[in-house]
Amino acid sequence: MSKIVITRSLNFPAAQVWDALTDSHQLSNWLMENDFKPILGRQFQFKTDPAPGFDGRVNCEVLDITPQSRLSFSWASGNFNSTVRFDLQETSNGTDLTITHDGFGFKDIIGKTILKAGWKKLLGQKLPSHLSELEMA
Amino acid sequence: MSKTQHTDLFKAIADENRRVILTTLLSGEQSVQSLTDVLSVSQPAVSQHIKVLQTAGLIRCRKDGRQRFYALVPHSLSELSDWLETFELFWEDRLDALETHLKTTTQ
Repeated sequence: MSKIVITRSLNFPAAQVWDALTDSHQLSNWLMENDFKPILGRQFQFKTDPAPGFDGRVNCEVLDITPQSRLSFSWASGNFNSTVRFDLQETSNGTDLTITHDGFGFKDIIGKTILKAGWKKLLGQKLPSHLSELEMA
Repeated sequence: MSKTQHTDLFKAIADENRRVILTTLLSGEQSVQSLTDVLSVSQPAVSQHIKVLQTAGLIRCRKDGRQRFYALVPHSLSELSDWLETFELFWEDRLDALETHLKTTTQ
C-alpha cells in the first residue's frame, strides 16, 4: 500500500487544531461540506463539486478518535477505498499536524531498490523519459 | 483518466508478481517464456497476470510469427503518479485553508 504523508507545523495550540478537525462547521470551513460528528463509528459524507470521474461525494466512517491526539476515518469514493488519519503532536511553538492518506494500492511499483532513489523523481521524470525512448524506438 | 481505469491500475500493481513483470519490462520487451523464467510461477499464471496488466492498459502485445512479445505502454505509470500527486496537492491546499481558518478563529 502506498500512502501520502504530509506534516505541517501550525502555530496554534492542539486544542484549537483539534476543534478545527472535529467540529462539523469548522471542518466545512477549510476541508469540505460534511455531516461529521465526533463519534467513533459515525458514518458521514463529504460533499464537494463533482469532477470528471468523481461524483463529488466521499463516504467516510470514524475509525479512531482520541482527543487532541488522533482522528482517523475511512475515505471512499467510487471504487477507491482508503483511510485518512490526522495525528497531532504538541510542540513548543504549537502543533505539528500530520496527515496520512493510506490505501493507494501499491507499495513499490518497480522495486524497492529503485524506489529508494525517490519514486516521485523516478515516476515523474525517469520513467516517462524512459518510456518516451521506448515509444520512439 | 476515468475512475474505473484507476481502479484497474491499482488492482494491477497490487500484486507482487505483476510488479516483477513491470520491472522486467523496464529493460525492454519480453516473451511470455522469458517472463515465466523470471517469475517462479507457471506459464498459465503468467498469462493471467499479463491479461490483468493489459486490461489496465499498462502493457501491450506485439505478435511476431507465433511468438508474442510484451512491452510497457508509455506514460501509463506516470498517470498513476499524477493521481497521487493530485491528492498531495489537495491536502497541501487544504492545510493552507486550515491555517487561514485557524487565524480567523483566533481573532
